Amino acid sequence: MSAIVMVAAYNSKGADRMEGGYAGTKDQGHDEVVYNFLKHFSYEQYYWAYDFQFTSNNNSRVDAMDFAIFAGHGNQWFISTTSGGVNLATAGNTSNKGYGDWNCEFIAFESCDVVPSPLEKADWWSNWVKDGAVFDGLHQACGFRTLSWQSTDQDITDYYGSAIHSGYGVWQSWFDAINNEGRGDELGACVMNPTCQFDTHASFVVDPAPGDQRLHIWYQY
Amino acid sequence: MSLYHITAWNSFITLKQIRSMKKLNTSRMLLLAILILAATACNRKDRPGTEKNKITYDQSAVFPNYEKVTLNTYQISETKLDLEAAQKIITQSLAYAGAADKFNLKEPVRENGMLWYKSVSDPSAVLNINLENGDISLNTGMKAYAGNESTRDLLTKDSASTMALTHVRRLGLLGSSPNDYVVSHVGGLNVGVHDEKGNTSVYKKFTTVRLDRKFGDIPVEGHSRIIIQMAEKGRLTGLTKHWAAFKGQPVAATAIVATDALKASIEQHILSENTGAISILVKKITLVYYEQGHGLIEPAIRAECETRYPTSKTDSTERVYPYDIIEPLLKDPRQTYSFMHDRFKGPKTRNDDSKDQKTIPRGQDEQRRDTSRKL
Repeated sequence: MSAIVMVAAYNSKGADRMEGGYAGTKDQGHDEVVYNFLKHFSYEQYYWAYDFQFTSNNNSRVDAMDFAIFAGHGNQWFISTTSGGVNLATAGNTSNKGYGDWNCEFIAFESCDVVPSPLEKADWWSNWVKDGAVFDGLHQACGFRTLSWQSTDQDITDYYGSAIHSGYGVWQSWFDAINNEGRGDELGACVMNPTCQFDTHASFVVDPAPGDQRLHIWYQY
Repeated sequence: MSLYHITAWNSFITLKQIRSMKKLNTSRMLLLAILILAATACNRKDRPGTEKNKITYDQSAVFPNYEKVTLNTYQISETKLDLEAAQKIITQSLAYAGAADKFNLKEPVRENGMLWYKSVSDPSAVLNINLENGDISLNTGMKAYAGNESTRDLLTKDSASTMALTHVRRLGLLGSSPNDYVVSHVGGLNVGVHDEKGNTSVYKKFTTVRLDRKFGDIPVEGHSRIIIQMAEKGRLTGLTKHWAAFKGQPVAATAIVATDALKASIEQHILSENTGAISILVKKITLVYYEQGHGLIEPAIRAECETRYPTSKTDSTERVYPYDIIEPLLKDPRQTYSFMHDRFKGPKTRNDDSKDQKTIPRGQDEQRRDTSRKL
């Protein structure tokens, strides 16, 4: 009887809204990396990554989701897709604008170097919030300020999916996932509007206004 | 001009030459054709994305002489935790960190053998424990550290290592292998702020120290680590402990892959995971133990590479991406390694059609915001 009571006490339901995953290359298991996050949810989208998902058609893809995740090669403000690559500093330069004007609150990049910190770039903020960039009501973007390795990426997203589904803070869970599954030379960085620092997937503040230039970056070093 | 274009140009010349050969006598024509075909075949070996010789090795990237080293496999020797044992570890850890009242310990989320506990007041506070192997992750929360100020009295690099090891020993985290570690990283967590006036600042928040496992001089890649996060005066605010006890058993020489076979295998896996690369430079090769996180540790080789890719099909500008692979040294490894994609059980990833612009309704939160605007 006590065992039954104990099982009943477990909260098996977590945060589950609209989640989408986009895999950058077809031969390095990036689909597995994306799926290891998505499998914790009843997700909506699971695609090979194409430029238009992040740019001209983002209202039906990345920005249609509440939580989007990309896995693939990257560089500072850049992700490599199966159709080329996306410059995140200008990805909001279409009629679909950036992310957050339609739906998206959170985006994560399991890729090298996408989120440079003040240690890499003195101007670490403007490419996220200037006109034509992707912060358009978006709450947080998580990634790495260093490289990220193939040998760990699928484990990091698996842990991250668990933590997000369980209702923990979005960027805090990203660092928690890196601490739990990453190598010592993989260091995370997350940019966010300062009002959104304690958001979770299920509970978050009102969208930042478009044009809000304020930005915080938490980063590991 | 890229290697691909050079090859294509050579093929073009070849066709022109073959056409002109109609004027030559048959035997000369045949000989010339054979020579040209042979030359073209050699060139094709260099074409991107197809051939083995696009892998080169840095001078320092040498395969270690592992066949002369006594290697072990390791099996976890911990017993699974029951709920009572897990609660005891959690209670002790929370008391040590001064966070006894921080979490709701009565209603954890249970997923894949892990218990996740939440703080009612702070979503940045994390606590979980793995009943299979005793892994624990604790963060006492960051709300108190969110302000635009640095944490006072953060430790320096040297004193941070000393203090972290004090925490590790007081909590008994190294268990039965107190010497099998190396302090691999001392760093921390900072916040950069860009405010509404356009000013930027950086505030130092936490210090972190990471310990990685080693057996003798051989590092353990993968799951094992202890990470200590500290705030003012070295106060413990975070802990990641993956440090189960393991028991080693020597591997017979006949169970180990020979160096030639290993090299062939690792190159095949590198190529299969980088079919679109223009070139691949192996920069570092290390003898390691690999732990996937399911109670086994096996000897392996880790290779770090630098891969060069064209930006896109229409833009040949090269982009350099790092890549690594861990290759088992056992002929019959029992763990899953990252290149073993056939063991992946997920659904098929879909191609996408840009013409499909089906509108997906805006999220509930946006609808709420729009309504409040109207009011």
